[in-house]
Amino acid sequence: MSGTPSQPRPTARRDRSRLRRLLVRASVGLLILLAVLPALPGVGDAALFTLTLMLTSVAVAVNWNLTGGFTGYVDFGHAVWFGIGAYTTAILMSLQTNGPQIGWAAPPAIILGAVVAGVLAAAIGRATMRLKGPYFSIALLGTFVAVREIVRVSGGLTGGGVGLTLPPYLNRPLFYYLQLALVAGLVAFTWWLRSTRFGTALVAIREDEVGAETRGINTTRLKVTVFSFAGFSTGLFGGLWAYQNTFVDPDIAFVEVRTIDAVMGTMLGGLGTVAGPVVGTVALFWLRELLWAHLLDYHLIAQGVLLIVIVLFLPRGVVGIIDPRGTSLTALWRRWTGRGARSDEPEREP
Amino acid sequence: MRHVFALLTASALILGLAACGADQQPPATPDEAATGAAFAGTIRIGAALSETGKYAVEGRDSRQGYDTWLRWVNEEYGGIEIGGRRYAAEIVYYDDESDADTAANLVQKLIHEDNVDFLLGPYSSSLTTGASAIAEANNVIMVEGNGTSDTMFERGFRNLFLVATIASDYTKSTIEALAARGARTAVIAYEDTSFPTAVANGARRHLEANGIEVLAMETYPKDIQDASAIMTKFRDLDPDIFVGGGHYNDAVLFVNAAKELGFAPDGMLITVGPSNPKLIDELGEDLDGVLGPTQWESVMAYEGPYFGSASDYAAYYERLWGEPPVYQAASATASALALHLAVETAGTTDTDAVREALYGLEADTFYGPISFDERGVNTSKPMGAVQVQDGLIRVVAPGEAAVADLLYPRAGASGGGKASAAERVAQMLINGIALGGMYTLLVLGFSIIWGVMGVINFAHGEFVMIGAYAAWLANDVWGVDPFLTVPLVFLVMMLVGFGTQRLLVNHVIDRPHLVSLLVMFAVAIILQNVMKVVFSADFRRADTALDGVWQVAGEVTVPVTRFWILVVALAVAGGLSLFLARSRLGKSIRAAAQNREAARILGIDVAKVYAVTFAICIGITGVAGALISPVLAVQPFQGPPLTLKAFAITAMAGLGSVRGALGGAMVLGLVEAGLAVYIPQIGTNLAVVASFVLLVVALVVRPQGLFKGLRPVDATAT
Amino acid sequence: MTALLDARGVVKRFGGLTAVDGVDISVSAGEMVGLIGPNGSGKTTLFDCLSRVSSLDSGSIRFDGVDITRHRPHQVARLGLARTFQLIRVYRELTVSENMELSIQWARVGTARLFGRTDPATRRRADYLLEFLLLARLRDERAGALSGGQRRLLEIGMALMSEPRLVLLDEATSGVNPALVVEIADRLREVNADGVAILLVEHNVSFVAELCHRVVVLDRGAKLAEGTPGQVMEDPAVIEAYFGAEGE
Repeated sequence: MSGTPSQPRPTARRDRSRLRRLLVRASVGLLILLAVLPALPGVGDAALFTLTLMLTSVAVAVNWNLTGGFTGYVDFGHAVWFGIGAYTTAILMSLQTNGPQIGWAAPPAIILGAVVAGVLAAAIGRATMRLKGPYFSIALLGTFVAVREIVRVSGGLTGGGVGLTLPPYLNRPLFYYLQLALVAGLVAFTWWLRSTRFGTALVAIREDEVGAETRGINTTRLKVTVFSFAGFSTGLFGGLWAYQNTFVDPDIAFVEVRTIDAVMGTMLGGLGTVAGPVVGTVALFWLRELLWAHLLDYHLIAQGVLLIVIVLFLPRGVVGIIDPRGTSLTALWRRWTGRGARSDEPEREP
Repeated sequence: MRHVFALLTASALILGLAACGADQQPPATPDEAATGAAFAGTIRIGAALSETGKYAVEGRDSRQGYDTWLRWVNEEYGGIEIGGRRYAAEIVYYDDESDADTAANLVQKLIHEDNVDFLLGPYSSSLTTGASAIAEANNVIMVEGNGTSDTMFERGFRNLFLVATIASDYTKSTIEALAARGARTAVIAYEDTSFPTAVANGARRHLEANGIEVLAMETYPKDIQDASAIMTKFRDLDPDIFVGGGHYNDAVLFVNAAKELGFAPDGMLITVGPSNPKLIDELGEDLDGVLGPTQWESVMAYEGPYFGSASDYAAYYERLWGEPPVYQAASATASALALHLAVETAGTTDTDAVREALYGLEADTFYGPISFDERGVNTSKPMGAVQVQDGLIRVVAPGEAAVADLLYPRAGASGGGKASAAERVAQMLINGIALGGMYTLLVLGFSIIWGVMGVINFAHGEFVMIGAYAAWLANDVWGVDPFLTVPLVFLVMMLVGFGTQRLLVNHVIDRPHLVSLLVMFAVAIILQNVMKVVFSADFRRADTALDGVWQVAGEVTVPVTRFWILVVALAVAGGLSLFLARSRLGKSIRAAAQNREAARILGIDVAKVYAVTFAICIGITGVAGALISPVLAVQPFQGPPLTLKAFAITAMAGLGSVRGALGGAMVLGLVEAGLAVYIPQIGTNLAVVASFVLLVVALVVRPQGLFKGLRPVDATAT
Repeated sequence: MTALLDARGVVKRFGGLTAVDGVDISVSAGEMVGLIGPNGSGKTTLFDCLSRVSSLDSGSIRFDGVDITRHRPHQVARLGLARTFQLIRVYRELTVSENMELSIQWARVGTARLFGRTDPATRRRADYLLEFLLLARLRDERAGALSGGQRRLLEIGMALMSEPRLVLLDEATSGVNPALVVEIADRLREVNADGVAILLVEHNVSFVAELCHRVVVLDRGAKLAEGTPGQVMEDPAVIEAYFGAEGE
């Protein structure tokens, strides 16, 4: 441990701004491509629906990354907010004999669904975010399972295990453009948020929560706020999904896979980066289409192997590879063999 | 700039491929080429069916059913007749991967891109619900025979028609037959998803209409592993008949738990399963006398002008596919046939005209009579019933189709008495302690690994599952009793544990928690799906000689298998305590748990200690799996709930605390048993959440943990 | 003159062990006080209690006339009480300047500033302090890439960023190369001369003796002695407990 400062790297900052420019250009290009896509020949409603589902996954991953990536609170039950948004929307719009008969129009129902998810996230976050590390993760997983069962046994409101049917309205291009705009807005919002004091403070909480707290940051307020926002936003996409899917039941509205995909997509793309969850989820979607076509029943096995590879060898994700501060191949090898420093990861007490 | 292009190209490629994935050309039907030329035109019909995923088998049967009609109509019948001209039929298929989103998406594609005239249904209610909504919104008619939930027909759709008997009428003819034979009381248990709920609500209606009193109605969530709490409750009510609503796997659960607890009512009626020969292979003579509804059997006395009789149809089907038709296939053929007849009556493919023709249809077919009510449901075909008699599936109802007499009371039925309040408390305590014994065995390995190594083994439940499969395999192939497999399973699983530790865990042990959590989580996914590929997702169970119940006093019984599991659990817990406290190795393990660096300085080979710890713990975990194989259903996805329970107990009780594991397991066992017995109807659902609620409350209220273990629990410490 | 910080009867137990056993300690505005004692005498635990990172089992703490016994750490910081840690806590993934710019006086951060970017005034102050602490050329480095000594300086800088009236410094010189220790002492004197009170936990007794107006000695969780450096060094009990233990 010498007192001599290490040599500053004048190129690092230039590399980073070049990377940023690259990412901005790429996303603008991608956005234009996605916007004109429905007009292209051969792109029908079915393809649009597939892309809409992809956008939904991207949004959930971006939201998950806000708490899991930036703030360091790994939420293993994030899909619960999706389910709550979906169910609130379904309950408000339902006209069914086995459920409530409220019959709201879609826009207010979906928005209220998101608000309910956000408020519940604030309440649950308030209680659970003083837990650390795996305890928080599992508490949220427990919350997820518990909420699903509560929905299941509250038949009068939720239709129980049978679920609820929504009035079908199937304008695929509309949903596609709506979600494209929302996802673009969400990513831009994340990018902006990361540049504010609030965003940097979230990273500070991840890096050292006690330190952040003793330096005057009201960590509880900040992390619960961002958790609540993530819940709100995921709830919004849950409501949109419910409307497009035309029905909900506990086992399709509350699925672990939605959380798993968010975690995997974010890890693949780059945990705690703005572009990571987007790149990772799109890659995952595309990879899955490939695996699906050729591996059938084996695709989940391949996905598991992929997750191990990402976690062990690419802790900074795909964005980490193109990021000049990212990990080199030799560092990857050292990581596996257990030799050499792991300076890019914060040490934590076991 | 080069990078920008590279990235853009890559994204375009990704998008293109994503789009292509959904855009593959439909596989051409062989008949199209062979017969297309002779016809005036083609009527195009679309169907999304499961070729992969959980409905792959039924999806294939349904497709064969549709194709049977297709071959017949084009080759034998000479094409669909409209206005004196003959039109060829064509069916465009896609694989919906057993996924509701995909099925809905494919129906959209069939309508807009393949421009089909009509739709046939996918397999299962859950896929049909979404798919039919798309059809309705686009005003395209869908005829189906394999999605029978009532809720689908309460939506007021005008374009959805069901040729099969609707779910709520599944049990009607069987209940009538049982009532005629003197049944007076009944209990109902059902999985609270769409189809079983509809069946159960219908059953209740039919029971009451036939003067049978419904003593209790219990729900349970999907993917439950153990129905014994419900069966205990039912046994204490001493009903004449038991009605179980669920899917194939639930039949395994019901029969298992009933046998384990000595619940043997005069009649047992289970919705799906008894008509499937596979179930007899799995459960053997325990299934004898069990009744099940069936949509159709080839021995039924139905006949019509199109395929001839039911047995003629079966013969034709067998010629085409080399196997006899199951009812899902017959329902599929009948749906296509109904559509065919309506199109001929309408004399056009115009949706409104065909809809009117469907509403007016009255046909006798090999499948039974077909005519639709205003909901679009075929109400003229009665449901049949089969009973397993001496290992054979015999049709016993309706009368005109029956080939054997309904045996009631069934062989092996034994009435008990109603239990008193005190007896119920005693029984609840016994069940709770027995459950606690199982949980103890399940949690020990998890707790020690966490306590010693600081690794949360997210694949814990999967190691239990592998142990269970090992015992089941030994039992199934060589007939070895699961209790006798314990030493071998222990050794094999120790090797598995050792390998896993060396290969994976060792590399993540110094890394942040998230890393080990995710790695083990990935291991869990891999193990689940490998086992699924190898053994399928069907529920299995092993047989043990230590089964049955001991009658202790009055109606109070002790389940024998669980008693011996408790004995083993206590022995293992005691042995482990002694090992940790007394042996050299045990002391090194404790030292390494307390302070890794200090242990290293004292000359302890920490890496070796970890490997041994992991091996021993996985060994114990495998033994837990082997022992529960006769009690819980053995299946690839049984792990996650067990992992979560282990987590809940450990976090409550203290990391690496043997005594805490025992205490926590007993508390959870008693809470679950109490909830299941004393909360009516939804008790089992609540028991499923109990561990999570206890966990979250315990963590939030007392993050330091309740017991002292190998390392401190502090859920709020960074 | 009333004390800026006034803690009375502070008790903190861990299970059966009493780490701090009824300590009274006070610091006046602008004062520089040293807190010394052998290993395990409860210095860091006392700091944790004073900065409210740990809850106390009994006792009371007042800061600037406000009872902060039940405050949360960020509330204490917003009153002007900053601290550093024995085990350094910097945000390793953030750059040095981000670390600094985030350690502002949060009492003045309203919603608008919370959702704003770093303002020029903050940036100027951060640059000034980094210059002052010899870290200016490392401003764009990731904090995780700094040496231990540099991280200590950064932590001191972060504490000063919040415009505190009292700084609790925990082992400001441990792991720092000796040439830098002199610099740190100079900087602390300058800071103190500007009116910032300092409470200093130190192993380096001569460092304390040189800097502090007053020294408090802890032993086994209790206050053993208090006085000017000279008085304390001559106290037989201190020599017995502290230097005896230290010199084994």
